[in-house]
Amino acid sequence: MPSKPLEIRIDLGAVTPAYRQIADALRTFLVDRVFRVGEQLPPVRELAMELGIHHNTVAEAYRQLSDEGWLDLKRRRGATVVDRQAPEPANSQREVLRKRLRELVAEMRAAGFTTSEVQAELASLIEGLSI
Amino acid sequence: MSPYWVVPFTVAGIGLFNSWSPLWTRRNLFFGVTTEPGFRETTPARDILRSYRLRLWLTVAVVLVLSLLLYALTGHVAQQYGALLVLIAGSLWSFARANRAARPFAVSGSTVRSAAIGVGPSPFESWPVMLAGPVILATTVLIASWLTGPTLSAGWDSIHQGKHLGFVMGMAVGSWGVGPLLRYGSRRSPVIPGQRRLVLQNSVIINLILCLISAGAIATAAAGYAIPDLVPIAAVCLACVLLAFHLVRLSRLGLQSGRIQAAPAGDGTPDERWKWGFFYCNPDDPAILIEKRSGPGYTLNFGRPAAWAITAGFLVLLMLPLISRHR
Repeated sequence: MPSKPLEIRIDLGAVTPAYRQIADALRTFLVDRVFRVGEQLPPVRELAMELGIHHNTVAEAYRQLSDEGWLDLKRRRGATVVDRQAPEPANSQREVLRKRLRELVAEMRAAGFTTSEVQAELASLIEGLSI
Repeated sequence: MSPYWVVPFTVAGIGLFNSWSPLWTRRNLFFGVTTEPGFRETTPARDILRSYRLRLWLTVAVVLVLSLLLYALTGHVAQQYGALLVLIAGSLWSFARANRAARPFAVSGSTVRSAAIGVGPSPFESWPVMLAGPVILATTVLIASWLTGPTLSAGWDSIHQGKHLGFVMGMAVGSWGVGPLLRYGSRRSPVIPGQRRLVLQNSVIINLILCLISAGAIATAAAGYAIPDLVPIAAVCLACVLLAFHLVRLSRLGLQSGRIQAAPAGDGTPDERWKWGFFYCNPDDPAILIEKRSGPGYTLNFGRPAAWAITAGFLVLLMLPLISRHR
């Protein structure tokens, strides 16, 4: 377990479904290697209680991460972080992620970020995620 | 004090408590409705509060007259307790009316949820510590029974001592039951980190003390010593003080978040899931214990089957003395 508490923050009023927000937040920690291989994520019920949402929502987020190869889900043993080798992204997945990135950049530009500011933010984020 | 004054005093005390308890909650909650933090100081809010208190004290007056009338007609104090049911119904009615009046002023609660992860287990949350109290108690009972056999009860040489110590043991068992419920079935405050752990620590410590008192009494009785009369009375007083301390601490933990400016709007529960602003029913919420929206303490999430099981259990415990008396 990490030495200091981390926070997952979701917005139930957002367009993005809650389970995807949870999966995205946890994926960030997993990519950043905050959770080491073999460590366990919080139990589904506990995380659902903390967030005040149905446990199925958290379970769906864990299932998604398991399908991506991040977690090993075993009944009564919870979700364990596994050693994952980053796969070669498929062309279709490249297209989807590129589209999402394009939309995010457009949103930042519309909010007033200059091109150099957007580049600096992306560079800083990439550096922060120890890939 | 003459016995027939007990119920009227109780009624008046409950009326006084209910008159103020709706304000003992987060600043952005008003009669179970999520509002702007400063709403209570507005004229509509004061009008709603005034109407609520008028209805409440009208109910109290009716119940007082009813209880005295019942005593005058029957001569029995027990019949007066029926008047308390009218007080409960009247209080709920007053609160429900105030809740309905406050709804036009509702604001959307924050839809943001957060959870701390990766904190690691606290020693007080581990099962060995949770089980310490009941294990001490059960072991003492088993050893005492094995050593002394049927003479164990002879040490409790008055029925009153047995009742007093039974009360302490009952509270020990009850406080242990609250612990797991808080650990696995309660919603934490959205702004107070470690709140559940604090409450759980409280429960475990109190449970240990109560179990040690009970175990000591059993061991003393098993050794053949008569327990002085003051001992069970002191044990009951100590148990009541511990319980009061626990309740005050619980209420202060919940109310603290109301004074924090950065608190998100609302308490994380949807307004529409609070029936009459008082009863919480949300099957999608995994929490069994929820902070009350009126007054200090917790209430049950009646959308969960466990809440109904707990309620049924309490009712059975309440009915047991009545059933045993009439058998």
